[in-house]
Amino acid sequence: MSFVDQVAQKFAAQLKGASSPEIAFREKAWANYVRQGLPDRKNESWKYSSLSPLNFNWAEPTEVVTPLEAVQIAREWKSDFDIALMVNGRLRMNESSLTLEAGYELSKFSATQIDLDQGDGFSSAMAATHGGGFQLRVAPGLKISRPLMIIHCQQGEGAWTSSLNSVVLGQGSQFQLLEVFVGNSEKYLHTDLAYADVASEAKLTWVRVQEESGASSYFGEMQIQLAEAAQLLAHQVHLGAGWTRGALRVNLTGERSEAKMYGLSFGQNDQHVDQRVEMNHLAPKSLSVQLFKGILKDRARGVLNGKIYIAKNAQGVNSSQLNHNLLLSPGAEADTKPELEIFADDVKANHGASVGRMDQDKLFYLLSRAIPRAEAEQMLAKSFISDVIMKIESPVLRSFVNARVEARLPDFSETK
Amino acid sequence: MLKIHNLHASVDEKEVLKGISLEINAGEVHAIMGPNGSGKSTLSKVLAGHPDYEVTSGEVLYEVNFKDKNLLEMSADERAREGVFLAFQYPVEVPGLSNLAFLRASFNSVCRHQGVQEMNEADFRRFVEKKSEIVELHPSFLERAVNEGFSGGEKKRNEILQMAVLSPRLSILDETDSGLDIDSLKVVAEGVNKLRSKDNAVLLITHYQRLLDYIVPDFVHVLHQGRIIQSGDKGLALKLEKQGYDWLTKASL
Repeated sequence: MSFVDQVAQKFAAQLKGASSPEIAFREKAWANYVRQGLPDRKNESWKYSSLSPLNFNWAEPTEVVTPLEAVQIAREWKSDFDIALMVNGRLRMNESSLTLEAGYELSKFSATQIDLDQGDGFSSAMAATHGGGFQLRVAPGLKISRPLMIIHCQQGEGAWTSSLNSVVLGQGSQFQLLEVFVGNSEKYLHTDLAYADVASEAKLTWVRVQEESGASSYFGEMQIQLAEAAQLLAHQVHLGAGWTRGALRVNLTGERSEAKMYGLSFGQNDQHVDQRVEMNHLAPKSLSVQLFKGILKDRARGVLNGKIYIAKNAQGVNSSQLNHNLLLSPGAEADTKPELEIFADDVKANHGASVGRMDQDKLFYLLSRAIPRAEAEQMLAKSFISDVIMKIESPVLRSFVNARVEARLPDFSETK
Repeated sequence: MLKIHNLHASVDEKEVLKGISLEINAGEVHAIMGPNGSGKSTLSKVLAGHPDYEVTSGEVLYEVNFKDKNLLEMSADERAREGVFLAFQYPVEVPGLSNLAFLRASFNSVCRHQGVQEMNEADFRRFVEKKSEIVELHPSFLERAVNEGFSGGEKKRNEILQMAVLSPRLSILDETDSGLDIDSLKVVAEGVNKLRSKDNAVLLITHYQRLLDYIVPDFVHVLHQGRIIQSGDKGLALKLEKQGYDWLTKASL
């Protein structure tokens, strides 16, 4: 069955027995999908990624025991984080360890009021067919210092998990969310939509580490609304999945709102990592920073397809986008395509990109200090991404990302 | 310890070294002087194993465990593990890699090679802090990224700190004096002098005689157009200081 037909089938199945607000939510998303259709490569924002890996007879995910890897991560990090467990898109409250308090709630996704209108045909289809997820609410003024780690694990050969999650931060609140996506070696599809609404003067720190199975396909989209003087500090790290499409759609709707987005893409073998960004400056004096880095070897391909949109009334905006790529093999490829759509006149918008090999002078310096080549190359790969990791303000979140990245670095030297 | 015989080397297919012969024994300090473009830095990079420099003929023998080995067949990191050290003219910055982690990786690689127990971080930190005193570098430099944001003088002191940590048998100092104020020059020179011994040798590459007031060489060689055109003792350097290179370079034509 084609992917289009499977989307229709999944949608029909989700409508059965659903409550009327839920049906209304799904039908609205479905109408968005029908209007736009599934994208193909003629669509500029999908120029580098074909949906053909998704043509497969996907099955519904089944109930499984909690995978060992999730248990291990939880055990290792529970002193620093509240931990919630999601298995095949379902929140397992009884296996989570949370210090929830009044005004800080984590529960199964049920919100139907969120506005996903900004999605494209693909994400609208995923919203219409979602199989649940989590919702997180933080009341106005509440500043939660202990970060929350949500471990998403996928299991089941041939399963398609479609999840939808939401994060709502009240005015002046602060929250740090870390999500890690793990799978085993199975072939599966995980489509994951996350919606965040950050009220005025609130700050959301959001880190995502994607380590899905190398045989899997992963689609992750974050849609974020930032009100007046709201702040977002987000990191996305793609380490896994054979086919990855990450999308960030940020609406800076409030004056002086700030979005700082950082990304790392690691690709080896035939991995395909496509990162899409839509940074929409809709209000004056809003600020955005994007810094994305990729390390690619073998025949891996990395993409940054990023748009900065500045509306006519959005004067005094400051926006930048940088993309740097390190290629470790002649067959690896990095594509970067900036799009600037600027309708205001008093703004700053910069973009820059580079693609290159490992710096041979730095390598020689390390070799001349007796450091073996493979170790020297790993050190330089780590050096290359160090500025992105240093932008994680919380030491605990930073040490988690460091640990997960360092575990993979031995795969990323030129000689291997 | 080191025997260079009729060494020819090219970079970007241009011949820079045109037949260099030089022998350095343990305990000796040799200075190589010469005008810009004479091939001084090329010689240092060829000896350290930089991949951009191609040796077209000649040989370099380096004594390891009382046996001469073909240095040119060894990779840059192997040479370093066998005790060849190059202090860079322009030390490289490596963001995100702490000086301490860098030095420890370097030191432990040599330990592994020599079959000696590697040092853990705490012991190594104490060891390096002691060594930092030789070049008057504050221990806070150990936490900073390698050479990032260091002044010219701090970079050169850091090179000598690395030398002190690795205690190489053959140290090649490539224009270590360039860009140094007199105080840093003294500190660097004293650092090198403290590390001199009867078992190791130093090859100083310099443009100016000034450094040789502080690190006194046993031999001075003048390099011109890729060849050594004159050798002598420290008196040669003083003569060059007074008379310049012209009397030599004209004679050699």
